Amino acid sequence: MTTSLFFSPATALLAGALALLFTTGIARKAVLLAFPLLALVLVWQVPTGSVTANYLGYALIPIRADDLALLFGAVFALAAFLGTLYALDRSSTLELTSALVYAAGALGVVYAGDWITLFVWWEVMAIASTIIVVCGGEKAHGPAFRYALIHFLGGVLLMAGIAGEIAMSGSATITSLKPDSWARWLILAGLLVNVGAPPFWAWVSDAYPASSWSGMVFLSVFTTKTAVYVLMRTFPGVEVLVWVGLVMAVYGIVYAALENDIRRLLAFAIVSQMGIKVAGVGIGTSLALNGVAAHSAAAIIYTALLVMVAGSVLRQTGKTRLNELSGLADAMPLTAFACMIGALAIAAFPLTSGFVSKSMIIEAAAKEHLAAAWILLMAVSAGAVLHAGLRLPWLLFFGAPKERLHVTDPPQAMRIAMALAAVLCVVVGIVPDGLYVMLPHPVAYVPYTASHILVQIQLLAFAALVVYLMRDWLQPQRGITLDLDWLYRRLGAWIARGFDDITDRGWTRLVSNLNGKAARLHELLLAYHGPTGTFGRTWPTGTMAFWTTFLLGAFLLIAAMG
Amino acid sequence: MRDTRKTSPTLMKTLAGKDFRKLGLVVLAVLVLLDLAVAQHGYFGIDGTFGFAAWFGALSCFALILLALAVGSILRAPEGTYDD
Repeated sequence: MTTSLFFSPATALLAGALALLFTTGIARKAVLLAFPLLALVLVWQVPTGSVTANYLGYALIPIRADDLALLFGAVFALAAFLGTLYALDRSSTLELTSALVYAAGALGVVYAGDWITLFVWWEVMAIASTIIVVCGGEKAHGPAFRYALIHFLGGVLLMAGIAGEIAMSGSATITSLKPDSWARWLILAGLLVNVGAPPFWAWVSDAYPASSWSGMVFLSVFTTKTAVYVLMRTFPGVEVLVWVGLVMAVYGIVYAALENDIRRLLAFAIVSQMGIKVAGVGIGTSLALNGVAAHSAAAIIYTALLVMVAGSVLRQTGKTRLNELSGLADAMPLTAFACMIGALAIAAFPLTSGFVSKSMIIEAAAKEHLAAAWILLMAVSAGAVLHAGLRLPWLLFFGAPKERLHVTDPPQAMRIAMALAAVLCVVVGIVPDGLYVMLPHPVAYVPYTASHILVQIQLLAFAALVVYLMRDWLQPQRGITLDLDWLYRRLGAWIARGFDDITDRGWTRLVSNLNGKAARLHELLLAYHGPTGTFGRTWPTGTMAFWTTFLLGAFLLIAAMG
Repeated sequence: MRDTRKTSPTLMKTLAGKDFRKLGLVVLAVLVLLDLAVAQHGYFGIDGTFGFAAWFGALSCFALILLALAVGSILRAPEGTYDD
């Protein structure tokens, strides 16, 4: 077991997190870059198969490696590297240490073959990611607290489900499940919390934009994607996921289209993209699951790229509101170019990673003749131009500048990270075979047919035409859009305050009532047994002195006689 | 430090200009006409018809914008809504 754990890529990141605490300057930068790369190398060394161990009577599988684990392990390690490269100048050791632990947690989940191991890594991720949110500064404390509450709630649901599942089936091994018992529904609910599904999806747009310019890169990569990975392993083909996913996809687009803050806009875009993947898991065929795996891998990189762009804008200008930002293309040309690549990828334009992956999920819906799902998937595919695909780069970089901002592209490390991510988006788009060979099922899908390309370009071009014609309605407005978190941030607070009032008033009444009764009892006792009371009058002090003297005398007498 | 005002308005003018609009319309028309050359194999019947992706893309984007505007008209709130 020890030798196998040595090969676990997660340990490389944990070692990196530890090393980060004791290094400064160049050594610190070397640690930041080397350990994620080491993890990436180790991913390729994990042998296919599983490592078992016994703990407290449970047969645990701390490492189970197959094609799917290899793909997610590799992309997570790569994303961790891009994240640390981007964050090379970030001074917060707490944030970066947490980021490495967080990435280690994600790799731990990827290789976990049993529920108990998975749960431990799951909670490691929850804690580490909360700390990353906290590192966003004082304004992030509220969002971080809410983030922690939601994720611990998700953890409780998952733990309860796991306990039930182990009690019922007697096995802790993670296998494909059908939601046919309360325990499995709880597991599904716990996973859905992390994937950004309703009713708790607001944690994404609440917590992520509160993090620092570098923190959101890590956050955007791991939590939602590990959750969809576990969903793929456990609940493929569960129909309710199709609808949950489609609701998420539409919600994300609608909210992103209204959003003024670029990082909140991207948070909504993340939920929308996750929705497409969740729907893919719900479809559950080999093609759909291949699509989900490919789309996850592609989305991790292009979302990270867009989040890096937003982080660069935040770091260089100190602003994130679209109504205050405009025309940055000349000041930040490389960032603008990176944004364009990310935008094309998220909109699944041909020659980008989004195109070769998302189209598999849509094709899977068509092949299963799921008409409603297919129509909605096509619609949200076109709708991608509404948020990050066109609205974000257009407003951020190509509008008329609102004020003269003396800014430049971000420092070198950040530029290289963005360039690498952008190159990956395009290379995977042009040569998808490298990605396809890593997919869990054999791939017979050809993305580049004349028909596919034409349909996608028509879809996007005409959607873009509508956005262009309606651009006056899509101008950024200051403000927020109320979300389901209103239920616990406002309604819940009101109910709690109301409950507090009621119990407070009830308590006061109870106490004063009891006080009155006690006082009356006291008066009653005093009236009858007090010094002047009916019964008290027969107990003069002299009588007591007499009896005391008598008893003492008797005691002396008995003692003398003894 | 460069002046960010220099070229962006020019780009905006280009994009808002008549030539660009004409070019855009030509590109869109060509995209639709290409449907005549490329055989579309649909799964549902409607998706194999002429210009399907074009009108579907426009319509679904329009519908999503309307939905967004409707949601926005009901649920938009000032930034400090939750500040206590």
